[in-house]
Amino acid sequence: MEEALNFLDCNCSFGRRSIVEPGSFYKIEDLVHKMEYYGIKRALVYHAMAQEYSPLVGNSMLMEEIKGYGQLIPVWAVMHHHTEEFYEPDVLKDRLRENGIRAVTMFPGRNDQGFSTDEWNCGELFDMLEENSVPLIIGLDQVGIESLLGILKNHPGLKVILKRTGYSLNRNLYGILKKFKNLYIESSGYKVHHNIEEFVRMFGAHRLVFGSGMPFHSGGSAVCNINYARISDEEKNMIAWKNLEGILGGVKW
Amino acid sequence: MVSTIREKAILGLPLDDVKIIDCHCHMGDWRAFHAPKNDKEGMLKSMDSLGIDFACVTAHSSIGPDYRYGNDVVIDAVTSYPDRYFGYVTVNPNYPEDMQNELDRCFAVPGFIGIKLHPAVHGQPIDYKNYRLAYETAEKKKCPVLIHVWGAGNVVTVSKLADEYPNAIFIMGHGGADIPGFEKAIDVVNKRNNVYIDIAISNVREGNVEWLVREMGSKKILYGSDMPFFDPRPAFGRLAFAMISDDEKRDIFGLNMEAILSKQKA
Repeated sequence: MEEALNFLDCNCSFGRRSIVEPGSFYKIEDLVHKMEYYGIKRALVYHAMAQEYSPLVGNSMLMEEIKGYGQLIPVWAVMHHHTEEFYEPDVLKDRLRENGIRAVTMFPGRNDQGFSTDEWNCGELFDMLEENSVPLIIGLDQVGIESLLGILKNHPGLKVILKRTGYSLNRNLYGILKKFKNLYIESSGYKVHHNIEEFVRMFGAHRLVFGSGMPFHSGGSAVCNINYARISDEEKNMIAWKNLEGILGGVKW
Repeated sequence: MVSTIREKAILGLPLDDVKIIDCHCHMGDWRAFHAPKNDKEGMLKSMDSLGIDFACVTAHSSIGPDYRYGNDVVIDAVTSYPDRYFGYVTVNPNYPEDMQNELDRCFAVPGFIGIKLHPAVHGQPIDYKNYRLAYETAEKKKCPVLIHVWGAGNVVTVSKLADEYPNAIFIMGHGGADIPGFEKAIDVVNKRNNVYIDIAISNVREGNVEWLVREMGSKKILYGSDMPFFDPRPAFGRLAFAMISDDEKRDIFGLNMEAILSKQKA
């Protein structure tokens, strides 16, 4: 490569959280500094409080705290509306549009917000996201394979960006990727040997989306995954920013 | 002008002017998951794109079911590419009757530089009696023993062995693996001359390398990737981009392991 890639990161957060490991950070100014150091130009961010406390509270803190940081793009954490802790889908749609939110995440895992993503619980929420082409960014640790399959199958128009796929998932992942074209993989969590090259050969560069996982995971690891990939520069650019920009550009507001 | 390690990494340029010895590699299939291109040629592709000079390998088979099959894979690698691969002899304490023979057989092959133990997969504690022959051999040869070390309890066990075998070089693979393990490892490494950690781990924590260097300096930390268990780029990237000096990065990337191997030759 003759020029650095213009990374657009789909997987960042900031804000106080229960555990901050030595060497990591939580302040928004540290995130911005690290992004610059690693060559990450823009990032989709959610607030740690939206995961570890309450989506409503965390999303509100997010919108307040990112003011003045043009390189940060807000991502809201969402959940279903049945307990009246969160918006009904039609209200959520209005709130997302009013706030310019073009991607959402969720934390249904047992150790986080603890709810099923099956159709009987989240079907209406996913219907709304699907109808408005709002992508869902979610960790495999939050959703699990069987529930993921349900989302992909019942909502073929919903683009799902899967994080935290690890190094041991290929024997299941390849089959899912072949069957469901609405599944995209976040790059930093996918650690298989020859990960990028084999993925691009099998499924094409358009199914990979760059993410870093900061402040939990190393931004340096994430960018080297792509910078050193043995693929064309155009494929690197697709993974680094073009794919995600295209997905965000499809949102109906 | 591209001159620093970080600047090269931003452009994806191999670090050809940095000595890189990956002290923690495997080779071959692993039963639990698909690891593409896991043979000696596939690993060379990964190494070449980053500028890794040498990989120190133990075969997946060796740390799993068949140490002899796996050691043969390593013999093939070090004899086919003597300027790219070093070998660890891997022994299994559940076959004590063959351990001496296997150590002798492999160390007779040029390119074998140490011993690898995986007590977790082989189902025995690190200080198991049947490992004694391996430690005694490392003591005599002044060679490294790379051990899978997971958690503070494992680190404490290694510290006792390191005191018992002061001429052996103990490399705590994965550095202790979790935060309590790292913290204990910092204490153990700082109090001994023959204990090192490597940075091979799938959970590439942000700021972790910087923290370790702050706590123990750069001389006792080794670059390890676990390739082809994982791709080597995550471990490479967190070191290449660490907020430490380039001299400290050079220590970790290869100079420290080179010094260990030099002592053995001396």
